Amino acid sequence: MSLIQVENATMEFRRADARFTAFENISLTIERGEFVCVLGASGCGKSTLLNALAGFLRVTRGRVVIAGQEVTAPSSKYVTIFQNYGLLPWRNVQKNVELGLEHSKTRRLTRAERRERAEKYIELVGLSAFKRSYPRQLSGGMQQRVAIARALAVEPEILFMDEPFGALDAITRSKLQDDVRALSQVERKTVVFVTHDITEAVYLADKIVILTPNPGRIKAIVEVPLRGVRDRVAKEFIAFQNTVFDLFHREPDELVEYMI
Amino acid sequence: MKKTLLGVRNVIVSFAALILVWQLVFIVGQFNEALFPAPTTAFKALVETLQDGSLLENIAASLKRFAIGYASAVVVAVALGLVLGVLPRVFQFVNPIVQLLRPISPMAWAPFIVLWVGIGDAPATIVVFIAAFFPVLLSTVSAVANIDPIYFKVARNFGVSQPYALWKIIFPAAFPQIANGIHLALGTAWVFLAAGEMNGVQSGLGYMVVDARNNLRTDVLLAAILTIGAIGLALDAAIKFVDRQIVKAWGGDEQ
Repeated sequence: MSLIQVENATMEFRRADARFTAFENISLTIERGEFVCVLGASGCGKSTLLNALAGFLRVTRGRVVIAGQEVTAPSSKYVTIFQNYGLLPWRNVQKNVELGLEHSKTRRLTRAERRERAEKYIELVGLSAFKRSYPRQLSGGMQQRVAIARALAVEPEILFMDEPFGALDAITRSKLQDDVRALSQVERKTVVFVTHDITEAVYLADKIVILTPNPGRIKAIVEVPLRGVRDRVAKEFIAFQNTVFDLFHREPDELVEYMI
Repeated sequence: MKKTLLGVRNVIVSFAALILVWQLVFIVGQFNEALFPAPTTAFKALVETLQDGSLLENIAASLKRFAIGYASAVVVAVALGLVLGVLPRVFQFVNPIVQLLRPISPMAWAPFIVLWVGIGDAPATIVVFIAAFFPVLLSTVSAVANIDPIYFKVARNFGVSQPYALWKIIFPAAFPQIANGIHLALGTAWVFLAAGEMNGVQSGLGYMVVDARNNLRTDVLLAAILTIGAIGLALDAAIKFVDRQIVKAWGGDEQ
């Protein structure tokens, strides 16, 4: 059985008397250990879909099932990484990473265990020298690393990433893409990664879910034929990137919106 | 540091100018000394009350009432504000009552307060409490409403449930804006302290004002008024300093 199953999910919002459909009839399955990118232009409902998977929102119709259980609320078994990090500015790096360990439902960790666990993941994201620093003293890329360490520290099955590198410069972004790819393999996590960047999706994903807007619908689900460490300038990489680009291209209006 | 020195210089210059103008008006205006004391007269009264110990006694009495009334108002209002902030549906019903009570001057309650708790330290302390309570309560509720929703998401995601979330996430996230309300309430509370001490009490700066009036000692009256102003200024400077540290610690603009 697939780890994540989305069955005919529709999300509607009511604002005053207007009704707005964020996405409709979305069905997809994600296997354990898969790295899936949800790719689409702004307004295609991809972040809303991620929020529904993560349990922050409940779908209006259809259902979302993770590991055999319908998702009704967020859980630390699947942690979301946000574009603007969501770090607590009044806590230092160490204490931020410990946040999720303070309320473990299964077994209460002792103070020493929490510290040790947090230190392990801070080291994993390469920030050991900064564990006493506060978020404001770190660059955007480093803050996102802290958020990743905080997520990994609760040892979740799934990482949901909502345009996590959208606020970073190109160089930092490509470095973090490398790190996230490596981490997801080492830690054997299932990752659902929302982005509007085709190159990013092709670089990271095993499978790409392409959404089109108004309302959000699945246009295509494509397996990425590239394996192992990817080379952003290799012929096959660019060729596949063009294939994905062409999938958008079928409807010119949406392409224009994407280019903007 | 340079900025602080500059600030101190500005304060000295502006006070010197004030005293100068005051003295000039006194000389040119030929006022009756009892109706409009000169700065020198007020200063003499200040020294006199300092020497006989009455000024310091009154300051101590006032500061004690102020500290108790203000601190308890802050604690109660912040706690209640946090709870009402996370329960907007309850606040909908509480808010009209708050809006009804808020515009009532704390002094209007003074007769009842004296009836209920008698005379002594309590009435003035309660007046300070009321004066500080509403601004802090309302700023806390609105601070909670303005918390970046991402903090709630993070709390839910990591299983930080109530009441822990209130203490660990919501209070610190709202704290900079709450501190703003606490700051504003300080000035209001200090204003009402002196007023509160004009009834049912035999000490404090407010009492000193009334007592000087009753004895027709306008020089002492003015000395008391200036002391109230000076302490208000000092309290404001102190809390401004604390405010800046908070903004810094919460990742705001460092200057």
